[in-house]
Parts: sequence; structure tokens; C-alpha cells
Amino acid sequence: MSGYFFPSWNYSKVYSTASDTSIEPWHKMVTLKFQILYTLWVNHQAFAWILLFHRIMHDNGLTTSYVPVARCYPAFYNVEGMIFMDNISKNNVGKIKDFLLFALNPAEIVRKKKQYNWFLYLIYPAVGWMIFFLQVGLDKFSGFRVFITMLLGLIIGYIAVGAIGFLIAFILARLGMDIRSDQVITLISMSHTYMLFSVLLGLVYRIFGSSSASAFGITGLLCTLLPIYAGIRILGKNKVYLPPLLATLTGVLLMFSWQMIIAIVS
Amino acid sequence: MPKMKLIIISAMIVLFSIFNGLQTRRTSFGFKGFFGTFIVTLLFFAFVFLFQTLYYIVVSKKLVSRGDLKPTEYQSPLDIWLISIPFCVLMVISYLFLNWNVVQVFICTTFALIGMLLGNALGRGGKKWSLMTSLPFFSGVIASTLFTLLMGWLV
Repeated sequence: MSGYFFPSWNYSKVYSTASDTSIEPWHKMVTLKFQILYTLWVNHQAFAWILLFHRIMHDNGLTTSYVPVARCYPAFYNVEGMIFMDNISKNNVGKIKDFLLFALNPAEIVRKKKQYNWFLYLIYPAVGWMIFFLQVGLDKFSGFRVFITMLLGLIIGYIAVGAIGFLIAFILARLGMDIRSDQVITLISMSHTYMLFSVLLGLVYRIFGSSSASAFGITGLLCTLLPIYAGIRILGKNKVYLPPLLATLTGVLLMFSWQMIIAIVS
Repeated sequence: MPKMKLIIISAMIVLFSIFNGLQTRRTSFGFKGFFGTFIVTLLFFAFVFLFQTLYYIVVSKKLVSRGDLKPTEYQSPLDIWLISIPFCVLMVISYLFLNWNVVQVFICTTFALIGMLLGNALGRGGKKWSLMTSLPFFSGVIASTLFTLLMGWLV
């Protein structure tokens, strides 16, 4: 597990210091902060260039859509995040950093055999759903119905992700895998990082006058399936078709939950 | 086993192309028919699949022979492509049952994410950043952007 991508592109130096157990904890914190800042900087540089390039194309009539950026950003973010989190995962980190680790590398939840407060982790996807449905509400409705749509996104997001987590955990347990429901729910919850970023980006686009909530939402949903796929893959290495099938089931259920919210408010 | 995976992936490429063609029929400008978009999507997708997969195989062989990639860490590119099963199923469901006409979003996200996964798999265990191992990632993003531009012009 020594780095996935850009393995030693400045990270090796940081990592060699960060993993040295002989140094004082505050040194570890400094390197950790550096890694966070560095990761964010690299991400935003990449994102900013794509954004600029796309804006130029759009303004010159070469494209009518803002969609590519929505897809590129989670990809950049994901790769950088995985390297970064792979590096810090070897440090003994606290609860907040544990949260960060799980947010950027959710498959780690499956590896760590500990008890998770799944009901707290469920707030995370619920917030993502809330932001997505705020945009859907702004696109489709006006006034109080926007607020209702957003609220339903929050509540149903919390319930739906929890229920899907229980179902997937049940299926995995029936297949004889060593996994608990709190692990699966936390895995699915923390996989929503990609969706959260995507819908936040959609919100930024909306502020600048272009609305494509569904494109950003679906991109986020598809990105959510990747860590779920990766997590299930760790559990059943010889079962090639199980991770894509369970990821498909999760995606379908998430999508129908979205449709349910739209049906309720329409 | 690889034959079965190849059949599944080919079927997915055809499905993506069919639904992109069907979606085009609903637009009132550009390519109005089914076949134009279907053929363009099929060719573009097939090219991206072949390029990404063959490139991955060639580079991973090189990396294994150099000792930069452990044979135990080698992932089959077809296994990586299988992650597009959920994307394809969700595209069909969203089009048929939810009436969301966003096939291109699914296709482009597939390009970008598969490129990213192939890039990750090549870079695993490497000690130095290199363009060679990172190219699948960039090519995925480029293919995604090119496809949107192409569809923007045609449809």
C-alpha cells in the first residue's frame, strides 16, 4: 500500500518524516497539515485550469455544457486524496483525523475492525443529499417548497443510506463474509465524500448562473459507488462479480430514493 | 473467464451507444436520428476501451519486468472495466424508469473514473511519478472532455 499514484511526488519526503515514530507528535501534526494544504493546493490548481479551459470553450461557443468539470474534479480529488490518506493512515491519528481518513479513503473502514457510531456518520451523506435537493428544489420549485425539498433530502438521505447499509450488510453476512452492519453503513456514508464535493461544485456553478444539478448529482452518485466497490472487493477477493453487483444494487436503491423525494414534493 | 468479461464489457459499450442514440432522437437540433449518434458513440467508446486496455497491458508488462510493479499487485484491466456495470445499469434505469435523459453524463463519468482506476493500478507500488503510469488517468479525463465536445457539436 505504498502510494497509488504520483507515489513519491514530494509525498515521499513528507511521508518519511510523518511515519518516523521517533519524532515528537507535534512534528507529525506539522507534516500532516502540510500534506492537507499541499493536497488541496494541487487539487485546486488542477481544478482551476480545467475550469478556465472549459470557461473559454463555453464563452467561444465550442461547448454548450458545463458538465466536464463536474466529472474531472472528483477524479482529481479522488486520486490525490487516496495518496494523501494512504500516507497518513499509518499514523496513529485522532477522531477528527480518523474522520478525514475515512472521508477520503472509505475502504479503510473495512480494514479496521472496530466499532463505528454509524448513526453519527449518517449525517454526512444526509448533508450531501440536502445540498443536492436544494439545487433540485431551486430548479423545479420556488418559495417554501424549496425548503421542503431540501429538508426531505436531509431526512430521507439519512434513512435511505442507513437502510441500504443494513441491506448490504445482511447480504454480505449471508454470503459468509466477516463484516458488521455498522462497518457497512459507515463505509457507504463516508463514500459520499465524492458526492458532497460534486454537489458543492454544482452549487458554485449555480451561483455563477449555470444550473446542472442532475449532472453534478449523478456524477457524485457514480463516484460514491467506487469506494463501496473497493470496500466490498477487500472482503471478497475471489468473487469478481460480487463488488460490481452490490455496487449496482446500492446505486439503484440510492437513485430510487432520489426519485421518491422528487415524487413526494412534485 | 476473460471471454465472459469481454462479452459483458462489449454489451455495456453497445448499451451505452444505443441509449445515447435514443436520447438524441428526443432533441430537436443537430443529429436527430438514432444511427448517427449510435455509431459515433460506439466507435469512440470502442477506441477509448481499446486504447486504455492495451496501453495498460503493455505498460504493466514493462513495469513488472523492471520490478516496479509486483506481479501480486497486478490487476486485470477487464476487472477494472467491470466497475462500469453499475454505471451502465444506472444509466438504463435512469433513462427508462426515471426519465432522466443524461446518458452522456454516465458515459463521460465512466471514461474519467475508469482512467483513474487504471492509473491507480499502474502507479501502485511505484517509487517515482512518471507520465507513463499516469497517462490512463489523463487520457480518461481527456476522453471525457472530448466526448462532451463531440456530442456538443453533433447533437
